Amino acid sequence: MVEINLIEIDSNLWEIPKHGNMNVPGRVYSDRELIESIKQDRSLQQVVNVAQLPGIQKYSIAMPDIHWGYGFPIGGVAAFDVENGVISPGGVGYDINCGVRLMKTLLTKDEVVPKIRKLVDELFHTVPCGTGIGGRIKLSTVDFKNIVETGTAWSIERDLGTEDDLDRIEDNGCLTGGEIESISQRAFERGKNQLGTLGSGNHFLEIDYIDAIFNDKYAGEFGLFKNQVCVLIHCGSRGFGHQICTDYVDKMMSYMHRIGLELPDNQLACSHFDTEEARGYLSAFSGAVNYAWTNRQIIMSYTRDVFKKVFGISSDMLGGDLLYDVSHNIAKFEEHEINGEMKTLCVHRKGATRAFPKNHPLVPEIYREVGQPVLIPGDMGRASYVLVGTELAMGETFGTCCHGAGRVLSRKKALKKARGRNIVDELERSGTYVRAKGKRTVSEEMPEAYKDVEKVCDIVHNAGIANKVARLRPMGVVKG
Amino acid sequence: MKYELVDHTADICIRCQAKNLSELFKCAAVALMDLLADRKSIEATEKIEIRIDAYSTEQLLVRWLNELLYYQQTKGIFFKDFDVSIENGTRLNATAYGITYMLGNQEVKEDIKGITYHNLKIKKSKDKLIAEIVIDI
Repeated sequence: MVEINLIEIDSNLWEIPKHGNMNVPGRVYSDRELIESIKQDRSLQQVVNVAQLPGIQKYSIAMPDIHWGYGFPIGGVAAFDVENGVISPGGVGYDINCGVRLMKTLLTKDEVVPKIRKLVDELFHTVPCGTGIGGRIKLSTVDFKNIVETGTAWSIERDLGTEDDLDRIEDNGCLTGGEIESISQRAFERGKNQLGTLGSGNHFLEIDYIDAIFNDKYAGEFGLFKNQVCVLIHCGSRGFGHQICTDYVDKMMSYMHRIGLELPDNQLACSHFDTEEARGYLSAFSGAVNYAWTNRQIIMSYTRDVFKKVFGISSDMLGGDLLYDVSHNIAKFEEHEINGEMKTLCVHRKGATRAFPKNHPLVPEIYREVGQPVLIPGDMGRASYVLVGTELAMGETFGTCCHGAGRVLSRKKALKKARGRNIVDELERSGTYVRAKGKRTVSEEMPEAYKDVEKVCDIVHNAGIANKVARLRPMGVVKG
Repeated sequence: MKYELVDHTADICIRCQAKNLSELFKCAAVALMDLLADRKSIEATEKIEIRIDAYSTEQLLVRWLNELLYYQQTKGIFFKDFDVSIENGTRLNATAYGITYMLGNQEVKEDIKGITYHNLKIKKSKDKLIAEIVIDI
């Protein structure tokens, strides 16, 4: 492994000086302790590789949850000029619009604890999850077209949510420009039976309670209070998005071959914006983004129904409002300041979350006085966080912060560490009741496989790119 | 031919070794199927003929594995064995032997999102060809 030169800028930020074929320097948000663990895999080399892409602006950025991915590191952020820059499907990821949403309730920890097993069991049976498992919704061609073009509105029309939910999703749950003509038949085949399903791996549905409030003002604006029970839902665009990424990485490989563009890693396959490949990808990608939002909306609807059934309460008594839905695998066209001038850039966030500040026009009106909620799920044994975006993030990270804890152990190493142990029992003894389709998944996703999300969130908070609002502790988890 | 799983933080990395390209492609397919199911227990009663062209050998390999993944994910076909022939490094002709399961009736070990190009370079080492393929799960 090649040693990457790192310069400490301050206690939460490092720089990889521009060298070789890099167009910009690299910047890594980390403290001294975490940087040592970051150096153990090839993620810093991936930061260097991304910096070599045409039209990249300011820095190739890495969040403190950075780890080795494919092409872009997980926890990577890169913004491109739309005149001479590129769009890279690998910079978004196969799971287009993998993201997380937080549903609030009016229930407290003390009310939920006595029924946690029943609640989790019911959710496990109601929300389809696991590998190779299809959902209850079978999409017709017309349905698919509507979802691709109008996003989450499709589910609202079917009483799987409310108009208020749309206000609390990035882009109101619909990225415009999705066209079915840009999407392959294979993508439709992979996605038609998977709407309303959780998937497997690191996807989950988690029941939490808030055990700490760090900022009373922001918590109040977000409607969060101590001991409040909330639900985190983490999943993405399923096989539909995966196939779209596969299709367009292939097309862009052919594009790069035609124009003779060479990159340090072919998984960075990209094309300039004014090309058929880019236009096709952006259209198909929009469809996948909309599918993923619709997916999370439907799962939240199922969750609301289960809560009402288990507790015998009405919607008003449940108060199952959506706090916010954030995407952490996405590319967005946004206005950012470059050398004193506002420019339209295409910001790629791969395992990174938008974190816009107060007064930003893209922050929902209900939160505009404080800033955008940022949701950072940790592992299923420790904690997750709600933060809020800051003005500093706009200048430093294109309005972005981390997305989770970040893996430290490979799945192979996690399985080895879990040998001879019953991770489900261990989690239950520590207060988290887990129902999972695959025993192996639980071991692969054990808490020790991840960085401590508290440390990751402290770094972004101390760096000033997002501020902590509340901490959630897990009570129950559903996994595929 | 043989393969092994190489450590990767978030995904799966397979290192395949074989004496020629045809065997390397077969090896990668076998490794992929072993990730998905108990391949050795499959009773192969069907066969599919597959032909793929590509700009480069690496693109051909990714297209080949994605093709097999497509059959598994959409048609429930799990493959046990393969006859593979590579021409000029950019054309594949193959017969894949397997069986169709009703979707949901066969345990799928991994939910594979895609076959990546990350660090994919088919290299010659002594008398062997080696490729490392990172798979997103």
